[in-house]
Amino acid sequence: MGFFFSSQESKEPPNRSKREKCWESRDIFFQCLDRINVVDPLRNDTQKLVKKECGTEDKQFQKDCVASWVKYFKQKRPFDKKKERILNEAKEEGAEVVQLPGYRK
Amino acid sequence: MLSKIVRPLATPIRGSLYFPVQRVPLWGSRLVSTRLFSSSLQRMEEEKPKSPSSSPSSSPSSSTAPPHHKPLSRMPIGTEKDYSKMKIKRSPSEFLSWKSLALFLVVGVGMTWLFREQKKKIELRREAEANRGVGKPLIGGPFDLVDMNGNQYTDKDLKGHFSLLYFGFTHCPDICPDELDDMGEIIDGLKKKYKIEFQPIFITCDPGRDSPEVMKEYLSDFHPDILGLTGTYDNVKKACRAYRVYFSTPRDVKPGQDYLVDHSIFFYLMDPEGQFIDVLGRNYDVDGAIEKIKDQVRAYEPKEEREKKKEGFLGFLYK
Repeated sequence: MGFFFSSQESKEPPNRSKREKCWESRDIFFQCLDRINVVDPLRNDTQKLVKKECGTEDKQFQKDCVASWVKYFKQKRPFDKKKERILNEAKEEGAEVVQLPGYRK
Repeated sequence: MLSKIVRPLATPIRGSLYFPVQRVPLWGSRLVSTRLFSSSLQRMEEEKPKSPSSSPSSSPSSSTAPPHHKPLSRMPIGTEKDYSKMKIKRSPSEFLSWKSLALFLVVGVGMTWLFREQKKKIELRREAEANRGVGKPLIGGPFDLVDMNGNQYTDKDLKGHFSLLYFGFTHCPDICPDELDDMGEIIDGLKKKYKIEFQPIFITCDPGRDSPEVMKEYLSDFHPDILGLTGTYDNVKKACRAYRVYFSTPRDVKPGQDYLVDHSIFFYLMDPEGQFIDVLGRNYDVDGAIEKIKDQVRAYEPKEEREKKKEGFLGFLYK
């Protein structure tokens, strides 16, 4: 069983505090995107606006998270937003969210 | 027709014995279908000539027979007592005393609860049995991995205790750490609430980066009971295949390369024989998972008992 690599730093997975820091920076960046009404930060036509309005938040986000996570979270955002929108629409139509005991929210 | 029925009834002949003539008003007898009485009427008519009071002069109004005309067969020998006039002294409400009511409730509620529990258990056992499968198991199978302390860990090590398996990887951005935190809560919840202990296992899908040391370091953030497993690329792939876990890890990753791994997110509950009995998806929250595992663990019976029950006369219940 040989798992010996020369560059150990990048091999180390982020620990709890690093993860939490990353999530925090992500949330700050996403809040900024909410302010400028950008759903998908990876779309070409919004790149400029994001850079202008949320450049610092984005930089901090990229600093606190590994590159693969940044990409993952940015890709995930439109899906989460879509889910949120569908749920909100259903609620506006009078749908009731039923929380079954033992099941996740 | 009416007079035909009534007249013979007033007389003490055998054919009339079972008609409560006195209580039936005359118009009531008209409602009685003729078909119902056709056979007795026939008999009555046959016996008519023998009867003394069957003369045409007797009118329907005289149908109330005097007591001394009561058929002899109803009279106890040696007495003249009219039992129809005696009252039963026992009142029906004496059975409804609070004691019997309480007993009824206790037994009723107890039996209902017992039957429900048993039914649930039998259903869970049947489900578990179906998941264990016949012959080759659908989920699970032989694997040969290394735990985070560097010791070999194979499917045989799953025997002797319940296990909860989770597949993931240490560089997982959000779901795995969340799920591992949940796993810790499930472990503690089952221990505290139901005194159920099991072996939680975290198997990496990313053997390229997750060495035993990395696993150990990573899992120190989580519940101390969780055992991390890793192995060679091929062995991990084999284990993931056996558990139907989607495995997308690239084979040759350069050192330091940053990538993510797609994987399925399920908890697998394994019985003390090392066989799969249930799967818990992300749809359950911690409490839901605790309850589900508790039910399965309580419903579990060792293999010999299962076999014995299948052979027994109630075996059809378990098939």
